[in-house]
Amino acid sequence: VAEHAHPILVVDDELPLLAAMEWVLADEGWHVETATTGEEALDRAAEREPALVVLDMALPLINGEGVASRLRTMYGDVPIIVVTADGRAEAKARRVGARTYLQKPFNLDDLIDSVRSNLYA
Amino acid sequence: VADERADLRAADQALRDTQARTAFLAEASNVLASSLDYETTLASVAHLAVPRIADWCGVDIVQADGTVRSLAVAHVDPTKVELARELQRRVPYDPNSPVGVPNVLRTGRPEIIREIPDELLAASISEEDLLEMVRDLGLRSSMVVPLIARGHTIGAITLVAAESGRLFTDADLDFATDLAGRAALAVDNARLYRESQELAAHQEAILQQMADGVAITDTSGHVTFRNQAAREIGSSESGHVLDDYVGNPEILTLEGEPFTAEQLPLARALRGETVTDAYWVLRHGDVETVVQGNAAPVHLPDGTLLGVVTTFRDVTAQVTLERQKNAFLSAAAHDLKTPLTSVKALAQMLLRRVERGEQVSGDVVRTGLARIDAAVDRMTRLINELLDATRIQMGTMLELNRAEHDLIALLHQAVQDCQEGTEQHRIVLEAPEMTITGLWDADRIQRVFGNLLGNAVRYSPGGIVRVRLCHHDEDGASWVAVAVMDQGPGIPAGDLAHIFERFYRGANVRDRVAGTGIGLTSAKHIVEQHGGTIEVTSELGRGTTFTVHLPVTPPATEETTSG
Repeated sequence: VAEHAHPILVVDDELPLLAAMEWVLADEGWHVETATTGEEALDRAAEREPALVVLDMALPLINGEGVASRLRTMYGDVPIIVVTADGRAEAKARRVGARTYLQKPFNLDDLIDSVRSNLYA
Repeated sequence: VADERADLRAADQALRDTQARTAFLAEASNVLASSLDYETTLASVAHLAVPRIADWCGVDIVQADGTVRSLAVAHVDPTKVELARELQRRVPYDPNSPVGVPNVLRTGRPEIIREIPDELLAASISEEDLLEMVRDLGLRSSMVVPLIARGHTIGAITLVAAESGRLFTDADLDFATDLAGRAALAVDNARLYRESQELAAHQEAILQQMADGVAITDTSGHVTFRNQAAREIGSSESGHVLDDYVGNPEILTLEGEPFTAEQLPLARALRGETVTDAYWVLRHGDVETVVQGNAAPVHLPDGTLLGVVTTFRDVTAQVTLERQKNAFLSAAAHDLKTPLTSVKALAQMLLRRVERGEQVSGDVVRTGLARIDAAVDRMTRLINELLDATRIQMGTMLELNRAEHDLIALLHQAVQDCQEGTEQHRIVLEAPEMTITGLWDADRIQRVFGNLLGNAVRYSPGGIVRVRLCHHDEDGASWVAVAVMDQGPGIPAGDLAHIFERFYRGANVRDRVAGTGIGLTSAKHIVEQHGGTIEVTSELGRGTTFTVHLPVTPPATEETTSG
């Protein structure tokens, strides 16, 4: 019930991947919201505070780092899981204050584990 | 008493002789020091010597090729000098002669003939008229002293007494040797100076000719020399000292930071280190020059530090290309990993559901597999595009697979593929005709429009992307113009001229939106190989329009029988 109040916000502009992530997280019983651009992600977050954000870095226009910094302004230390195909994933994660990063292509099991450990840490 | 008087007179004469010699030496030294043109100064000394020291004075010099040249012959009477010159011309120089200049040059030891015997003259001169001429000169006594510099005999001074009737003594020889020592030193200094001048001139010519920049600094880092290439590269001007380079915002590391004293190549070289393969960036306003160079300390043989020689070249073009290639590689890897991630995630998602023993609906399976299929297609297109980019870079023409296709159908497919990737944009195709059939390389033409649409979507936040097709005839040929119009941020004017260049990416998107920088380059090649052109117009804040003009090549006309 608590998860319904605070959704998991998944942000990625790669639609098939976004759909797969949404499916498996929903299968685990979490309430999931999605966004395909940085702007949309911030709109969703403004509507309802997310419990956690799965955030792609290479978003057009407002990129992952920009989204993360505005999320920090809105909700302080909301957990962020960085998802990126960039080779410098760890550095990017550190820059946006994310505890966890997933390097593309990743296993959905790892995504679920990361979400779980971040939510119930 | 008479003896005493005679002694006194002799002592008085000796004193006056000493005074005269000292005065002469002082005068001669002044003349020798007056100029580095030693030929002139030695001739002056010879003239100074007559008649005060001797009636005749000659100076001979060993030249670089080993031959001996008479530099000066001095006598108060010019007609007698002319006689001496004639003698020199008619009696060939004999390097093995046991007396005179050849003897002194050979042995390096002074020679004195207190009284010249007539037999000596007769032995030296075989021609009768010459001998008579010499006898008429009344030569009485002679001295020849060597000019010795750093152990080498470089010439000789000849002093001869004649009409004065004086006879040279050991004291005279000591004096002449002293004079020769001073003269030799002056000649040596002048020659060394000239050699160093020549060396410096050669070195400067070499340094100026070098394509690499060369800068020389003293021990404080102050630039004492820069060659032309160094000036063109825009290296620091003279007037700077070491402290001006450290922390200077116009001299940066490759990472864009001002240098610390620990990093600065010049400072390291001044501390004794030979620095090779260092890089630094010179920033003048907006212009950055990347420089690669070496810096080495210059020491005297005794270890004294003279300064630093720095050599460098402008590697801006190479470094820029290297950076673009790296950006391209990581963008290509990124672009390939993105659909790969979708394939993996979709496959795992379907697998999870099956493994959980859940009832998986046909719709879910169909959607998942269709998305996997589309993602694999996207990867295939990307790989083909990378292969084409490699071929283009190697200068090979693309081998078009032309076949009969409907351009409008190809456009529909490209629009549909792109629409599936975005929820923020609406892609609208405006085409007046149902079909435009021609010979096209379908994959590549689709890739061209896929690229243009992909850019339109990637670089604009949302809204309508319009694809407008016009069909017209020109000079009897059939043409289509396809415009792809977005409502994005536009392309800065300075970038517009370069956007079809390989790896080139607009300044306003370079660091924000991932991209390989090859899409437009290969689009241009594909269009041009179809006989068409591609052009771009853009307005900042309003949007960008790419227009592709393609000739419609009709399918080979077959003999058709109709009706």
